[in-house]
Amino acid sequence: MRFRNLLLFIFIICWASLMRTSAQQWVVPDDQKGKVAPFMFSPDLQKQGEGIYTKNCVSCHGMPGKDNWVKQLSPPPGDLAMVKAQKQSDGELFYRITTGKAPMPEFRNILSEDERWWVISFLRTFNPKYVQPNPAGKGVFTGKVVKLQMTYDSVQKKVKVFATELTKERTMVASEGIGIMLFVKRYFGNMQLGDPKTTGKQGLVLFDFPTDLPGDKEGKVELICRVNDASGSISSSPVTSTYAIGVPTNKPGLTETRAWWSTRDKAPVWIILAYTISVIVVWSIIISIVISVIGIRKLNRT
Amino acid sequence: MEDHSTHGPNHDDGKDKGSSRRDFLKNLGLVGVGAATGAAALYSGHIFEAKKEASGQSKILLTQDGKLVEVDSLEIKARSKSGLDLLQSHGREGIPGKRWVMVIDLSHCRNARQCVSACQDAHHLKPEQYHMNTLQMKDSPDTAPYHMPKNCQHCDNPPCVAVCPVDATYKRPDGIVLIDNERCIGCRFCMAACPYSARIFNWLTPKDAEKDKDLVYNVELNVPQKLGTISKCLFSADRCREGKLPYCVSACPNGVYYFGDENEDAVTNGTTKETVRLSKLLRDNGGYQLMAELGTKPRVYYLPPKNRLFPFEEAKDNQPEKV
Repeated sequence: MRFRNLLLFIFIICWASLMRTSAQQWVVPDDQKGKVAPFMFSPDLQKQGEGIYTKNCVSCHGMPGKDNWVKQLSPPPGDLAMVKAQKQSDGELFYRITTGKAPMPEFRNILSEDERWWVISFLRTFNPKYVQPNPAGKGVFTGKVVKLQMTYDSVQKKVKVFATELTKERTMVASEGIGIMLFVKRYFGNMQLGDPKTTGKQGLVLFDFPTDLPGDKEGKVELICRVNDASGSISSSPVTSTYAIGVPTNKPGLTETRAWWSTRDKAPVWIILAYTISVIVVWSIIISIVISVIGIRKLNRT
Repeated sequence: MEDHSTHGPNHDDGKDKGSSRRDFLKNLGLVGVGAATGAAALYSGHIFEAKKEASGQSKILLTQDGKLVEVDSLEIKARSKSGLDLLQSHGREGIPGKRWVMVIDLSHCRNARQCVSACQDAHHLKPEQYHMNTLQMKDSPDTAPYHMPKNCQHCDNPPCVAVCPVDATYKRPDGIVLIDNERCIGCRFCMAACPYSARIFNWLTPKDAEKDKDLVYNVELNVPQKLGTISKCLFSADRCREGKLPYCVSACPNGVYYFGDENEDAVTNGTTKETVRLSKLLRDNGGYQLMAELGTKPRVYYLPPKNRLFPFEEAKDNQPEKV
């Protein structure tokens, strides 16, 4: 009995330490490590990648090679021009950008796949030894090819997304079990509506559209639906459509109403009235004094 | 008839005189035309010489993308005036249809001060000048301390704008309160009126005065900073125009800041770039405004410092604030 307890104890210790190490390390699945970009990196793409990098990554990682990353973060983000970052394969970098791990955000819903590859193409410019593996051709891709169609059902007041997949016989059939996410376009980024949903047997998924979401002047909103796929085994492109289903929003500028802090033509009526009346009163008093002085002088002459 | 008879003898007498006067006038005309032509020739020659002299000189200029180029003096056309006019009118109009709003989540702030340095870099401020500062707060002896980033609250009822005697500080239709350093007379009424102490005054020569002296003044960036005038947080109006998040928001490594458009009911986190609904964020997290009881209607919301993600550490790098 005591021996069994000891064994159990040892097992628990081992399991806990295993859990601990796995919690600390950021393991990239083997099938993701070998993933390669679908196109060759070019100076143009590297430039695009630099733009995305400075907008999304620089706040923690700093500019590569300048060692200006944020030292207070745990785990440390590190300089991406250093060997530790550069010795990773493209697939590993892609997986880490896609999935994130606190405090690093996941960029799955923020950057498109191409944009993530552009960032990698930019990072590779800091590694003179880097040779890009051959891009994944269309023939190499073994996953599903999924096509999305989005419509708005005005009767049910729901956004319908229909997923079809390409079969081996080159026909399109309804695709079941595909995770779909719905976003609405906003000024600084896309906002997710509800949780991701999975397509049913007919390849169909329904999203509720919030009744109080503001649109533009005519209530138009731009919706984007895309496949929720972390593994990269599904090839599909996001679908964008505009529908007049939001709340029409045309609020006046904040300087439109009359306010006491505003400029002269937007001053409150009572200020304009009070000012005008007081000016008239003061001037009429001055004029009446002048008239009476003239009258007194005339009287004096006669 | 009478007139003719009386003038007749005179006419006859002065026949020679008349012809000599005509000749005189003719000669005078000829001389005049000749002189004018000569003068014109001389003047154009002078201009040509002047041009030749000027074209010998070239100037080294800095282009917008940071390249040094050598340009002939003659080819330089003063665009600075029209550029300034454009920036000034942009700066007054704002971005139509927008109402900018900021949300600061105090539970995430660990005083990394990346927002402060990004802001100071962008607006060419000295280390002791703050558009945005992280303050160490403790509401009462028994409550826990926390860090609080504080910038201009871009009030919808701005006391600073009301007191400005020269319309230098103004509110835009999109909600941003800006200061036009071209108009500011340095009276500092606005500093006295602001309950949030959000404004600073350039008492001394600004940081990059020498470097920035040829820059066209951008009212949406307050660069170049001007001696003897006010400077303040601008919600990075220049970045909003480009569809980018403000400097402080995108520099934060801890997800403290959200920024967006109230009309769209959406704010985007500067760190995670995740866009969420403004109304839900404020409702679920007990959002509040700073000193809302003053009736200033701030456009900056705070989320309370509950369940703080980082322990409080005394700040070591805070410069004493000089307003």
